[in-house]
Amino acid sequence: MGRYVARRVLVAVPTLAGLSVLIFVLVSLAPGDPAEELTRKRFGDTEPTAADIARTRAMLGLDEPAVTQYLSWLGNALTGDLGTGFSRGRPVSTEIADAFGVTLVLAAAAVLVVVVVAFPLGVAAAMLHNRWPDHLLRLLTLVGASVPGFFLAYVLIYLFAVELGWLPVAGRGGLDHLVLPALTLAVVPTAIVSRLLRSSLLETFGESYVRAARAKGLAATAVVVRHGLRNATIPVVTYLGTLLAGLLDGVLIVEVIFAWPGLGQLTVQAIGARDYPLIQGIVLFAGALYVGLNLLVDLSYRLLDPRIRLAGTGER
Amino acid sequence: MSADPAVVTAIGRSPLGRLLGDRAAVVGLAIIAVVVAGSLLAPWVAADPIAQDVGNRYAPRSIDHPLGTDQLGRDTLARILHGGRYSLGMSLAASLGIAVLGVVLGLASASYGRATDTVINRLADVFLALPTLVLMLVVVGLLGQGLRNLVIAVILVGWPTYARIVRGMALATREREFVTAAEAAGASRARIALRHLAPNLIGPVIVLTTIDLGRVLLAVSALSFLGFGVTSPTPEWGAMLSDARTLFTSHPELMLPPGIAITVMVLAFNLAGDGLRDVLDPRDVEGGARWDRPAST
Repeated sequence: MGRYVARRVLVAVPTLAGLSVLIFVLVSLAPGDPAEELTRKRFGDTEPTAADIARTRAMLGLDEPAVTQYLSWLGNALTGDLGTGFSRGRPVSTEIADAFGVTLVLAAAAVLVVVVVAFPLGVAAAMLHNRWPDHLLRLLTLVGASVPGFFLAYVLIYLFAVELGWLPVAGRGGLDHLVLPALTLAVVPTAIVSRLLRSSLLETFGESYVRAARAKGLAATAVVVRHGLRNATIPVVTYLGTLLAGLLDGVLIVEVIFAWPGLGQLTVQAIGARDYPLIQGIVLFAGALYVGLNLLVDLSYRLLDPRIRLAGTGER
Repeated sequence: MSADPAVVTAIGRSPLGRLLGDRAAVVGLAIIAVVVAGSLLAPWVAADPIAQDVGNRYAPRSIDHPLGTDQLGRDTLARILHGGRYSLGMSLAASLGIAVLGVVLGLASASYGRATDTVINRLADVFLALPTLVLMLVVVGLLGQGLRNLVIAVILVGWPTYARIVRGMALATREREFVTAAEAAGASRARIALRHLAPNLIGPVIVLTTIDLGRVLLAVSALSFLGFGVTSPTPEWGAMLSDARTLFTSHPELMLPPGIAITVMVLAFNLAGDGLRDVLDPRDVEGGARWDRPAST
């Protein structure tokens, strides 16, 4: 197991390095001159001279050749220094850490919604196959797969904030501010998790151990929970990587719409402001987070299902 | 075990016949046909999508304006139909680009030895190291706003999955006897890839592309919504939704036409794609097992 983890981590390093090279290539392809844009913004109405722009360029290190710029960025990044953002002049690592904390709250709330809704719904849909919970789930799946989050968000805002006035429209505050963004974020993963649970539960119902449990007179619910659900959860764990990607993609849209000052909003702002150090830092952070969490998902999958662990690399 | 009559008829009918027998798929195909036709014919059948009529802002539905008018008195139906040209056009261009790049790199990966395979695989790893929308946003954000750059971003982020699948299928096909025969006859690697492997990939890649169209449209609309697609007066569904956003508190109804247009088209692509997959891969039929009535095996 230890060797497996080490190998996966080693493979991730060149991948993340490649990602940062990709961003540098894109930055050098990008139109416009960040030094000039930044100088103009600082100067406001007065026209900056070429010397002013050159000074900014030198200050940002943009006068160096691209390779030198990249290597010095990489060297600093390896020591944990991701540089300073152009637009607000704050250290990139501070910006990311602050925003990530805010995003975590939202993501945790969304995951809570997924767990609380998806498990009962998946079980109900499997037990009452082709009856109303199953139809409800089919509708949710259809909505989740087809309605864009940036439209659904406004439908929810209109219903619950404008018409009913139960919840705030946007912004950050008490728990009530969390409800709508978390719901929007949770719709797609809830649909997918409950569908996965439903179909894998239906599959376990055909297994001999479930039939045996039924035959010995165990109550239906007990059979489902004790025998079916335990085995049906494994496919759900494999989906966690996709769930995570969905959350990271989702916060881009949801945070912008709900004015939630997290990583998603920071990303969109950084791109809008062409804040290269900040973009580069966010990409590296998101990449590491994504790769690292996918590794954790794979590990938990191996821990949950002994068949995979034993069939693995021949260890043990 | 007796033969299941449903299976017998399923095998007996042609793929097209079975696709047309799938009611959901037919509905999906019909919606696609109507919207695509409406968008293609928009310059001739619809009103001018940019012409403003300031005296007639926020008009309700009427004969002249079947979907009403927007904050500048522009005809909403005309904007939806013209917008379809951009939204669907970009999605189609991106899907084709993903398929072509994926097939080319996947075939190269399977055909041109270990070094090529490793390079393409590592490259794919890089593009798969971020969630799709995050990477698309970064790419289009850095390249700069615009239709072309938006499509490039979607293609760049989309190809690795296709390349992986194509590579796998090509490697499996290479084991078949007709390829071994061609190799023995001295055919070049390029000839084998193009004449023997590629024809066997066309069907599965078409299915894959169709299934993905809905997701591509969602991605394109999301990037447009965030302001990286068309510029202001040009109608496009994601951009229309983004415009309507600023007027949400006073005129929430402006969000409905573009929002519903995207939803309905994604739904139609999903229905048609699922139908196509069921027809071309009949093994994937959902079992009828129930918790108290297991499927017969």
